[in-house]
Amino acid sequence: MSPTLWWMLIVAAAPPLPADLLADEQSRIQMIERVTPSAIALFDAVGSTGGSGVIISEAGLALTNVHVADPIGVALRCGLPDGRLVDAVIVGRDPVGDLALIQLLPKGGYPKAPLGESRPVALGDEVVALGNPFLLSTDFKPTATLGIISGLRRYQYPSGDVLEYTDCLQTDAAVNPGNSGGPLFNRAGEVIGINGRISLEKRGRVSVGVGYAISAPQIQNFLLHLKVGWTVDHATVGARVATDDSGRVVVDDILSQSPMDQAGVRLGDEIIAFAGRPIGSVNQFKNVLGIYPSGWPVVVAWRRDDERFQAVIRLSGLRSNAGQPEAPPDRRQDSPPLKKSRPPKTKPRPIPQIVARAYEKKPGFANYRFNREARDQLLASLLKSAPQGPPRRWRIKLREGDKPVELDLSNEKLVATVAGQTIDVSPSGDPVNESGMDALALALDQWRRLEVADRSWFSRCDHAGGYPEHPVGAATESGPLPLVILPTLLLERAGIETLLSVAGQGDEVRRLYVRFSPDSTPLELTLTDYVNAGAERRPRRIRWERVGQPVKELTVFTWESAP
Amino acid sequence: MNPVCLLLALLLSGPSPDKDSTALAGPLPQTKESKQELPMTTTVMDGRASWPSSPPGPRRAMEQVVKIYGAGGFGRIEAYGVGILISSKGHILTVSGPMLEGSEITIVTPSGKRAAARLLATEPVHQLAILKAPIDNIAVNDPFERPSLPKVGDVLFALSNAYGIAAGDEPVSLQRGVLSAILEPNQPSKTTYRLDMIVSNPGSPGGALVDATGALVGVIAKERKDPAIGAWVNSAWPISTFAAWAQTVVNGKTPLPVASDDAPPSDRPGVVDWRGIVPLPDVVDKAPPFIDGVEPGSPAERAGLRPNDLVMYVAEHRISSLSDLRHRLADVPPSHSVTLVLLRDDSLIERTLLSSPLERAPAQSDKGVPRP
Repeated sequence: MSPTLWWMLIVAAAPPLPADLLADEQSRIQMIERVTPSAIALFDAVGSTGGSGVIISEAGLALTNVHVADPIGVALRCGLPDGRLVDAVIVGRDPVGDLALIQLLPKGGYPKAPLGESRPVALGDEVVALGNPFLLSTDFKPTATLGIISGLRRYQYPSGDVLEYTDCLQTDAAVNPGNSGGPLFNRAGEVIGINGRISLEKRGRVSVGVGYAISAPQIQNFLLHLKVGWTVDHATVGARVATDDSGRVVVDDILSQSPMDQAGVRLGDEIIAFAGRPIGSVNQFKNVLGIYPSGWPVVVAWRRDDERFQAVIRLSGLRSNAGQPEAPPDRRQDSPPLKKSRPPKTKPRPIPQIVARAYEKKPGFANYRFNREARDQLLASLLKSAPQGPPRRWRIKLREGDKPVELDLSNEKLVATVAGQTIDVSPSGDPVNESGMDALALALDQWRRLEVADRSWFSRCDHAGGYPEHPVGAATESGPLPLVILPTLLLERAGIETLLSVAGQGDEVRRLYVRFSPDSTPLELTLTDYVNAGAERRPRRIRWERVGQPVKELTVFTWESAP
Repeated sequence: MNPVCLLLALLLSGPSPDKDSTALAGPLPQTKESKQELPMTTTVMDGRASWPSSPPGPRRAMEQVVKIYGAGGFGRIEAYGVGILISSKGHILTVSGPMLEGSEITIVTPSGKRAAARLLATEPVHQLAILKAPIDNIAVNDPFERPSLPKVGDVLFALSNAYGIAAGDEPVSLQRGVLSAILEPNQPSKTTYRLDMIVSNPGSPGGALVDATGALVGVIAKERKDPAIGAWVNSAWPISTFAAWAQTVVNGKTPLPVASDDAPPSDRPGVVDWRGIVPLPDVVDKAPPFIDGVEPGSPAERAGLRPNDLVMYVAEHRISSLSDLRHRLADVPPSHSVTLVLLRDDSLIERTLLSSPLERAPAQSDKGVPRP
């Protein structure tokens, strides 16, 4: 009998495969087909280095790793699975989190993948990695590898002070050099992470079934910062924690005037929760700390002698504090390169015109052009109902408990009247009683100045990125408050720094964070219950918080805005 | 955990060494027992979304896996490992090796509790060891009661402390793959499972290989490079290969050596006959690799080794301690020769030791004998 006949007999005799197995296979194939168009291959102009990425917006924003984007530079080349090769420009960088956002050019008309899971990722979940391992895909079609989630909330040490993987996903899907920056999908076709790191040992630079991905929740926390062109910073609390003999996580070292110190945390205190997550190990603490941008407010809870304390702290910058330029990551020679030969050094190529038009250099930013555009949009939205014409004077009547307060804010002078007593405030930021109504007057005047003078009054007006509506981990009686990230403006004038977060239909100032001098404790206002006051939207309630001070609740009665 | 030999590399692809070498581097079948086909995935539903995940059995089996910390942390000798709880009295099955030869062995339970463990017995053929730790209140399934017998092609899961990633109460790493082959199925003591998932990683040997229900199938074998193909192979020992020995140790009896008088295990991985060398008593952490005696008629005598020789090198590897020597010799496949450099009376001499197949059980070794 011929081999063909034998084969036909074998096939005919084989029992049919279970229907659920075939259905599972079909759904996997369909899911990979659905998301494949969004998986891109990244290269430099000459194709000597590269990696992977994933498009997350129809406009053509795509995520990748900093360690892929940085060696390529401002102008990148992107290969799409449909065969297109397009230019891209760097938009935002997160050197600590190893994340970069790029914009494909021209804008618009791209296939995208949804970022973020609709159900929390679970240990054992089936996942698919798409990417460009070993830069194989000369036709830009990605390689798909299947695996499971091997571990959740893993911590992987940084290299120097960059490329720290916190709270990351571990997978046994094959992830190899070149997969960097590519997406990790769940079986619903949602991007649950960006692959960027693998464990290596004796086999050289190939997958050993242990790969790590930056989790989507972490990416979401930084995404608005990246979209508006920042080189973002991660956070520190100015304290070091360690596990003591009984397994508790205690404060081992603390810097004076650091956020933890200002909140009242002392050496030896046990950290029990951070940003709403219980802390049972040093790794867990580093995991939680690593997923939030610097400047975000988080709730920290600690214990001393069986007494529980809680406070909101503002995370300070991990790298900005050091005041040092970005150090290059450790370079180890014992990890062999993928290719043996090194191409001859070529002169840096000129940036293509389409990229040059979308790029603006400025210290602290990956691409200032995106910040400028986003800022102007945010300002336009916030000020769309603001009256035109001559400078306006605000007269606000409010109450703190039984105490009547009147604020009279104009370009000429700021006056606060508390229970009949008048306090003059210099608008240029002379020392103020930071807990008094004069501080409130000065804080609200920052908003008024924005409204009457647009941004021209401020020495600095940038889009600050995204800040949470409530401190992370804050809860009410009815449960934890959801994390809502608000677009925020960063304003500076005469040493006063203001963060102004916008909510509602883009026309409500939800939070004002004002710091009168670098050493002072900032005040934070949450403005809610907006109503129409004439043409403008004004809050009815103001919640006033300051670290170390009792919270003040203010009720607004009138808010006049007149020439 | 030792980061020295744990190279974590970024996955940048490219030719420039200084740029790209940045190293940071289904539901349980409640059906009849005879049904061996287990689902590869199960669908998790929570009302909003559903998609495949691993069956819950392997995740439950993590409750039986402990992290182990001991001597090491230099070169490729890791100070971390993994083991399987095999009795409710605190017996832990793992692999033997230098990590267990220090003065302290610590285990960390799945809930993050730490306990000191002691080495109870070792088994040289499969290079296994049993520790005992004072842990109680842990429900342990007897893995020997109804051993799970997988078939080639079955989906299996590995639970291990690969690369020491998990610390404290963090769950160990979960990997999925299939049983690729069953080698030597007719010789119970030599049967080996070959896997398509990568388990020849530091921290993986001693880990649990389970089926989709979470039932123990075997123990992940020591990392081993196949000399014939030059590649690292992924293998596990089926329960049947060590069950009798392990049960004897758990029951507190002196186990019989596994290498009995049956066929010579010439192709047994990782086992080399160095019985001819009588080492100094290994009483300190870094006992010097002096030869205390040479057995008559042994490979050591045939090679010309003598008492008081100090072993300096084995196959160009510098030897600094007895455990180092044992470790290096264990890497030599049986029936292979290895060059030893010895220090004898102030001069260096070279001798070639032919590692012969095991012919009989170790006579004077403490291996396979429970320690007090």
